Amino acid sequence: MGEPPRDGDQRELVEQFIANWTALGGEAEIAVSARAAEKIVAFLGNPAGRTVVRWNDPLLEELALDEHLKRLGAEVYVWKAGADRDRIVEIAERADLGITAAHFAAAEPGTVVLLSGGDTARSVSLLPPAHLAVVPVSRLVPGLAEVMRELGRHRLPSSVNLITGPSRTADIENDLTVGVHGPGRVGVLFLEDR
Amino acid sequence: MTPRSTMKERASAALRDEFLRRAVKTTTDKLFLGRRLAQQSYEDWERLRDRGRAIRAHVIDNLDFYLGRLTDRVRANGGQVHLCREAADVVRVVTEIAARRGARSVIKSKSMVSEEVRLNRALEEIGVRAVETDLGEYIVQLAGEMPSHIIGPAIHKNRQQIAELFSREAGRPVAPDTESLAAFARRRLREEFLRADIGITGCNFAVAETGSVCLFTNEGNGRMVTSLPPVHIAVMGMERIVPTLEDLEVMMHLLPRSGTGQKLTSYVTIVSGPRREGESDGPEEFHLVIVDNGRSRLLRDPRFREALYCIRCGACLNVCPVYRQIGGHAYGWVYPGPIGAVITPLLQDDLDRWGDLPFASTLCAACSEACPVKIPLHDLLVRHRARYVAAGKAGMAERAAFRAFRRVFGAAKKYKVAVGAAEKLLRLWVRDGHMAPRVPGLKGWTDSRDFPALARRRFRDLWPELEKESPGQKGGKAHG
Repeated sequence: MGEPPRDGDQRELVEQFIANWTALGGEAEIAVSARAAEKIVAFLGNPAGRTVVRWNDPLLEELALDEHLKRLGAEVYVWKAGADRDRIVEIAERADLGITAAHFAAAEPGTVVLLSGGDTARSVSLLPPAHLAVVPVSRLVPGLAEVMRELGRHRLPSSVNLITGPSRTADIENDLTVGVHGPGRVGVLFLEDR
Repeated sequence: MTPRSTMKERASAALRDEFLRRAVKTTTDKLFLGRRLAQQSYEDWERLRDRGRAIRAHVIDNLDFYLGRLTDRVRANGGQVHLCREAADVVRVVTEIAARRGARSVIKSKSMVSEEVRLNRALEEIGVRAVETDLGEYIVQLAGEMPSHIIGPAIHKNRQQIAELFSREAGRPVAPDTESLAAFARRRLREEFLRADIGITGCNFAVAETGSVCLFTNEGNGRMVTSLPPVHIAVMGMERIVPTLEDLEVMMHLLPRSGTGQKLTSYVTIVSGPRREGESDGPEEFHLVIVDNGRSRLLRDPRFREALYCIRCGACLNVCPVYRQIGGHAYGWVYPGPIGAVITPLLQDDLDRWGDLPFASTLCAACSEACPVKIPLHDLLVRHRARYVAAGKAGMAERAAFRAFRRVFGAAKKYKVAVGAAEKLLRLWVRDGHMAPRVPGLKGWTDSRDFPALARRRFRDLWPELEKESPGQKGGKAHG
């Protein structure tokens, strides 16, 4: 995605995103790539005996988080194109955490955008009770207008998901609850050097 | 489920239900305040409304073109398109897909159109279980009822009632706290998501340019329904189109702010056909069912066409002084509130049964002010009343009364005599400056209202004095 911008504007966007995202009950961190794996472990909690499912994304490969997680006792599954549907859905269903790499993020209203594909399965951000999206700051844009413009550049994938905070409902006496069908815990990890 | 009762009877029943009235008030207050705050979070809300209205107007004026384009693009994405004129056509298309796939269970995310055509019942008749997965819809389905609000289908139920329904379903007691109830629904419906043969969703907007169906959801059930079953059927009202992704962005700002008071729903899912090469999840078959079911009647009638601009946010319900008292079920069908009172008589094409809905309004215009796409709902309600009267549906007494009213109020002399006589007559009911007349035939109106007594000296009597006080103003403009 070219040279990562380091100007003050992008900083402001990150802050704006984090303010919006945390107001909705999401968690957010900023790190350099070399420290990303640690941050992900911190988000997961004690990795021993836990299961993580992730996208087959070059960015996530580079963060070397599989080694890190496995060393601490977690199982890591990579959902790759052409994977057996029943088996991989079953794994995602019992996973404690799904990790994706957002294609875009919008500071306003605090949204990560995921495009479906063989290596970027929609279930990874949906079935586990927690979802963490890794977002290079260069992929952060001001708002939905920019997101729609980016989406309009290519043929749309079979499913685009804009995610703004945790799964929620107010259907029981107007009482807000998170984690109804989708993840109740959502995290964003910004990579400041990307 | 649609009782052959009158609006008045259903409203009276609702007014006797204290819990319902409290629940509806709490929810509508909350949604109303949420909307006000959310609007403030957008820089130029009025301009946004104008843009939204212009997009909707353009689509409705060119609906044949956009339906054609949408159909082409969905097919290019590998989806199948079914155009359905009547409710029966929708049922036929969906049950045929179910039969061909040998489906035994269907999971559904919110679809008002499927309520219109009673799809769940039709599926059950051929032995297919249809499970609603939006939490509110699930509650309403377990109770065997209809949704009572476009945004909050189960706002008329309290947690005890919900716990009873869930306990019956679970075969064990489920605690009546929100977390236990939501956790039960998550576990129970997760099983359904994983084994369902078909997923059925509604469609908030279809994007013509890209051949996509767009869903706004908060719980994530819409994502489940479009990700796990091997078949996805999206059911849409034929007017629910926006031309481009850029137009969709406008709706992304308008709809959640007006509906739930959020800047954006937790999920916006844009589906463009079945899964592609290499994808393991997502449906292998995608069907778009485009439903007319009476909408062309609105399209053809310039008096009511604007009702098709509606984006189903529910804002007009939350501000309506009638809806706020009686809730959604009193409207008798799928769409409640001011928008329901406008579209139900036309979609159902039955004045005898539904012609009384437009009378359930104070014409205060709060609905029109709240509408994100500026549909003049109160004007449309008046047009409905005129249509009702023109069709000869008004009673003899009412027609006689209005004829008399026209004669008296249309002539200065008659007016003067009549009002003078009325003032003297009505003095009989005056107590402490107010009167509570019992006028035969107007009982429904006078029973719950007191009126200030008519002034002994009327404006007309004061006029000569007022003229003397401000000479030179005679016949001139009052100001400016």
